Amino acid sequence: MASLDITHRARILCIFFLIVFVLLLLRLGQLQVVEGEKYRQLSEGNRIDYRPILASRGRIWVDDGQDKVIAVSNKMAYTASLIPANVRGRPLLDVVNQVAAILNLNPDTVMNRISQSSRTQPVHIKRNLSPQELLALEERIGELPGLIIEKTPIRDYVYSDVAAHVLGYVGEISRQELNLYFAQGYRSGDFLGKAGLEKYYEYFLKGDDGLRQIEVNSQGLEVATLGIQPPTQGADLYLTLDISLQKAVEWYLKDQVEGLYMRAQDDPEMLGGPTGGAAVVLEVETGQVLAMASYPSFDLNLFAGGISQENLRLLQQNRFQPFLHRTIQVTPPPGSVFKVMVGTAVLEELNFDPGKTIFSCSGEFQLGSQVWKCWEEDGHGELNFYQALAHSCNVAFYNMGQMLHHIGGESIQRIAREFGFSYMTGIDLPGEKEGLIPDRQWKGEHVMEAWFPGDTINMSIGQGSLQVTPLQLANMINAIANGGVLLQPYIVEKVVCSEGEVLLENYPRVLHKPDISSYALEEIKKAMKDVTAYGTGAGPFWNFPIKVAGKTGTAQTVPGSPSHGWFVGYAPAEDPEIAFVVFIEHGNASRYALPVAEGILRAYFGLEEGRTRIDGEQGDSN
Amino acid sequence: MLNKRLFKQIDISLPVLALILVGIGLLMIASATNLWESDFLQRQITSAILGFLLLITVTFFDYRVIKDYAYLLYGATILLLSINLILSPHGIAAQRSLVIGPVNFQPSELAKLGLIFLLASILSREENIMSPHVLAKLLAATTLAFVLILRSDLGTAIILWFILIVVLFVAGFPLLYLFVFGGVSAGLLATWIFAHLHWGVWIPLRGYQLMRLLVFWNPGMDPYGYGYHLIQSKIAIGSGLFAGKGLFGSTQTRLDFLPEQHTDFIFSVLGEELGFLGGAILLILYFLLIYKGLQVVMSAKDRFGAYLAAGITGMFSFHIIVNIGMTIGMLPITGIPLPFMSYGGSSLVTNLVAVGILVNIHMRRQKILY
Repeated sequence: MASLDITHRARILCIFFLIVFVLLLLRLGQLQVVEGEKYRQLSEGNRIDYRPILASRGRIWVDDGQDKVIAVSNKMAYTASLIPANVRGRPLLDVVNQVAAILNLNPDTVMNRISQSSRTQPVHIKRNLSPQELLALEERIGELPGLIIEKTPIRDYVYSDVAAHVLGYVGEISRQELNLYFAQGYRSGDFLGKAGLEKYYEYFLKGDDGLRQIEVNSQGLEVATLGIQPPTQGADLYLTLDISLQKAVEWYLKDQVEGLYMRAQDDPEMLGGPTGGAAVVLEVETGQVLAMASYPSFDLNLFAGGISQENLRLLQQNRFQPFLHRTIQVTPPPGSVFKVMVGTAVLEELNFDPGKTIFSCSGEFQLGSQVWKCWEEDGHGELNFYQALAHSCNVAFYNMGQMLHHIGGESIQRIAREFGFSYMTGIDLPGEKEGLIPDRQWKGEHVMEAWFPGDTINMSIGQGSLQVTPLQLANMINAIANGGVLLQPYIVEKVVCSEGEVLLENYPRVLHKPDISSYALEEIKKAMKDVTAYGTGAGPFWNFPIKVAGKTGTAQTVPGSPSHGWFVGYAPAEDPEIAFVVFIEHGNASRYALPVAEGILRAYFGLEEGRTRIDGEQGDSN
Repeated sequence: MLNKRLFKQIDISLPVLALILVGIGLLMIASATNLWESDFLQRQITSAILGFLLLITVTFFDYRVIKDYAYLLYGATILLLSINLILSPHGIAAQRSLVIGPVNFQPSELAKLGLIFLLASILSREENIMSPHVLAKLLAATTLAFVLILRSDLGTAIILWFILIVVLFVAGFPLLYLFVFGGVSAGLLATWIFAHLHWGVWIPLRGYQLMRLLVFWNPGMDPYGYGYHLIQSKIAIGSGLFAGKGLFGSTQTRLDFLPEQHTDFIFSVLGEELGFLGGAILLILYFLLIYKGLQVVMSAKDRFGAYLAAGITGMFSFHIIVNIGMTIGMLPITGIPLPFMSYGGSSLVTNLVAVGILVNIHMRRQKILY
């Protein structure tokens, strides 16, 4: 029989439980009613995540005759990414090591990248997976938590190594770049332009990544797509480059440099032969770059999905330095090509009749105790100004230099600067060098010496401390050809966004109008025509169907190294359309540059193939 | 066996309450699990049918039979616990259950009933419950079961002490002594954990069990590990707001954010889908169950029946309080099921049998004559 005591105590228990249940109820109300909104938002945040949709970079179009063709576009490739926060059940390092082993990557590099990235967002491990890598990853995807394989756009360089230095390449953002561009929305693992137009026009090319709002489960695995903000493709670049001409220029340059190199292996006098070359073709009226070649080149597609360590090492260690853009990033001495500037200065500064003033060349020139030699050991005999430039007589130019030195005022330097030397041309490419026009002030500051007459003598044949880029020479010749207007060369005609709106349009832009008389200009042009008529450039051009004006140059380099070969010019001589420069780095002599120039002109003017000689027929030319 | 008088005295309110709770539980399990990929629902329905059959069956036998066989029943459960411990000495949660042929059950569930039987039996035979040898017997019986269960199932082991305290309280044990007893036990446990953490003293708890206790004080300590359960459960329940996200409309649960959603955290599913309204109704239903259980205690014909009913009601109460308290962050996560609702055949069948015993005690109550 249940005693009263039991009933009593059961009632106490009942009250106790009632109190506890009321407490539970209050707590439930606190969670669901008072703080409910907070948890509701948390629950939304729990299941919603965002994944970037990588934007395709803008395409790059070039001319092909009258047509526009694509030189750089995009293709879809498989990318392996890891979401660190989703790596559960296995240590992150373990998973990274396994993935790195499959993809032949350095695990430290991968870990480094992960440590710099958001834990909840995919970190790109490798782009452009090979079919073998894709297969190997997909076989093991079950044991690799957090690993996802996505399709992402990567670069497709249609012409692989053509115009490689101009087009440039993309690569993963570096730590330094990340610091610089973080505010612009770049994140670790992003790709961006690293060289050439890809770098210069990065702002337009990159586009805006889209966003995919997805529903995820607790493993962070995607369950469904909730919404999409589509990416905006980058803007397209339209280049002034003509791909047919570009290919021809590159082919002639490569053919000549490689031919010379082969020859040099049997000829000790060539001191090992050429190490590279460059050529630029500008449109005289506009300054547009029609072709711009640098040899050796490299396959841009190696960079499309990020270059492998191995390939990068091979390219970096190549002694011919394929990464060097030899039209704007090297500053060799111009040699005799600079006589065009000296000649212009003489015509401008001296009371001087170019047809009647006679220079006498015995083969050497003496100043005080110093003797300078002409390249023609027996001397040129008597020459007027036109003949002096045509035969590139050093002694004649030593005399002109001496005369200019006497009147003072550093007129050679002044004229050279008027034509853009020692300034960047401002072409729309990164990494352009400005070169150097040495003068009294520079020498005092950098060499701590006075400017001697001998310095002017050296400068009068384009030697000494002169530094010019091939593009500067081409641009100078272009200014002479177009009647005295220094233009800013450019490659990109316009930038057009994916909706068709023109974001940027480049027009011919006058950098400077050199302060020289039309008299001087006309006389120097006349002399340059003589170069190809009977002078050092006559070899391929004396009977060339198109009249060419130009100037050769053989620039001495350091002792023991072969000289550089130069040829600059414009054509047709009477009504110029194009100006060009050909540079054979350590090419021994200017005559070796002539066949390339000939090839370029044949390609541009659509002349039949007639170029056969590796050197320009005549003997030593300067 | 079951005469007309007894039949008339059957109070079906307890089985009906159990039926409603089991029904709600089945709905929640259906929502929390993928019906196409798992057979949790079918298995739970099977267990429920078996449980209700057993519930009816137990009402046919006079509960007083248990009094005579209490030692035997308790001994049998201790034997099963020992076998289980030997077969899976590491006490991994997944190995809590014992497999005998097609039957797969957790002996710790049965052990709770076995202990209640023994406690009620011992106490109802003694006039002086304060005598040392009685207390010694009670403590020995509880400690033995406690130690055997502890390694695999901390929550259930702790429940055993609550059962002992409730039964002792109803049996008239002075309240002061109970407080002292409870306080000393809790103090000892706290000291032990402290000693373990600071001086590396051995403790019969597994790492995760300890972690769960510690995480209760600071869930942010390990948001993706042990604290994860607690945070996710609070998010699930809290995000249900007043009216809930609707049946089968939960997001926390259906996207697997909530761990163990169909077992220990079934209340979180209900909280998310049915909101405060659903949670409050469920609390009322559970309180009604406890209230009815305590009425059985009060109306029992003999002390054995009263103690038995008290033990069972105490067992239900603490399961409910500890489980719900854990899901709403009031109590540490100890991993015990919510009676009648959590997925798990052993627990469901045991609880339904326990309801059957309550019905049994109630129908054999002293007829109250006015």
